[in-house]
Amino acid sequence: MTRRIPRLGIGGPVGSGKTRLIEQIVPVLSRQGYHCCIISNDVVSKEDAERMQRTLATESRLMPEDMIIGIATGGCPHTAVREDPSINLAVIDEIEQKDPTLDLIIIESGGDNTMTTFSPALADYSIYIVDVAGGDKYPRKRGLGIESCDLLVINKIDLAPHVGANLAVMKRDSALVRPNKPVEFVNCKTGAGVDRVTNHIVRDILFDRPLQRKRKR
Amino acid sequence: MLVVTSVVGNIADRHHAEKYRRAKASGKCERLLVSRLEMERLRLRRRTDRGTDIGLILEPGNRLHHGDLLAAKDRFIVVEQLPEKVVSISIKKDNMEKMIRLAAVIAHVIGNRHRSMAVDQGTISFPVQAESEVDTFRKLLPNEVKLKVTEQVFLPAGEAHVHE
Repeated sequence: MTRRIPRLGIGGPVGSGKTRLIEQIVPVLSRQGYHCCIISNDVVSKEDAERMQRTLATESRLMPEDMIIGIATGGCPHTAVREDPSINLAVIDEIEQKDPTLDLIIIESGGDNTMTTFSPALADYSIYIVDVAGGDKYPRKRGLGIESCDLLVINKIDLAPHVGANLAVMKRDSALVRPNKPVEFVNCKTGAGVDRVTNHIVRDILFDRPLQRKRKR
Repeated sequence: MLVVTSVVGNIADRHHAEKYRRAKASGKCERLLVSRLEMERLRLRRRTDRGTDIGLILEPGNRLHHGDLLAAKDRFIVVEQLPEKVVSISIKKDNMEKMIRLAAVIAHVIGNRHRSMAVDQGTISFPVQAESEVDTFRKLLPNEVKLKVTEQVFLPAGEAHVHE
């Protein structure tokens, strides 16, 4: 039997910064010696996967190009990570056969507004990402994606003053709708706050100590 | 971190129930509180109510159940599912045709939301996210049914196709 590789689901609305978050966390994890694979779910295009193949494989050489896989779900992508994750599970099966020494499989998917969740058969831990441009009401709008994710990430904090979003309100509301669950404020463009996100990943999925360098393979 | 890779039994079993009673009485029992959705995970890191850091790694095909005892050396750790808001719908006893029609309408409304459900002694139950949802059900469902919202550990019946 092949080794089951830990799996991280990243969901959120279109344009919230899911792909950019992955482009930020993979280098941080890579510097700590962790090796990742990425599956990017989209409706009909594979644009995000192709972008990450360019940024994380061709340009940064952080991972092989074939470890970034695009899935065109045909329908709203949340269906392929929640109701019927069979296509993602089939891809994961191939990945686990191909490289069982990987540390983490990242599964990205948009869709379904604030209700996107990942089937427990697919993801061991989930991040839901929103951005301040949607307004500071976002966390208190609730929805299963926001409420049940393990880590809520609020992106584009640099835009808050320009769109009249109050980060303190978002922090307060996040604590109200997600008691005892973490929220992190980030700017995925500059990388601010991303180290805190990777600390959660290292501790809560990889069961390791944050910022502890792993031995090289 | 204490890595746990299996479950040794459930306190619903007579053999383990007695052990559980003794451990609880002697104050040696630790509780691992997990939400219903998290019960299906194979990999989970949580602290018990006494602060023990647990890293759970189960083999595919397994899942946690309310009352499971974790295989944790020198510790007695019982898994407890967290309570959540649950709507219970009771159909008043009437003629069979009317009751079947009501049951079909209720099943249709729950099915459209892809919720887990349970049926017990003529009462149909399913989880809701917030009290505000109940207003929707009051509008959708006929007056002949009685709705009640409670906070409880919800144990779904079977493995239905759900969207949570």
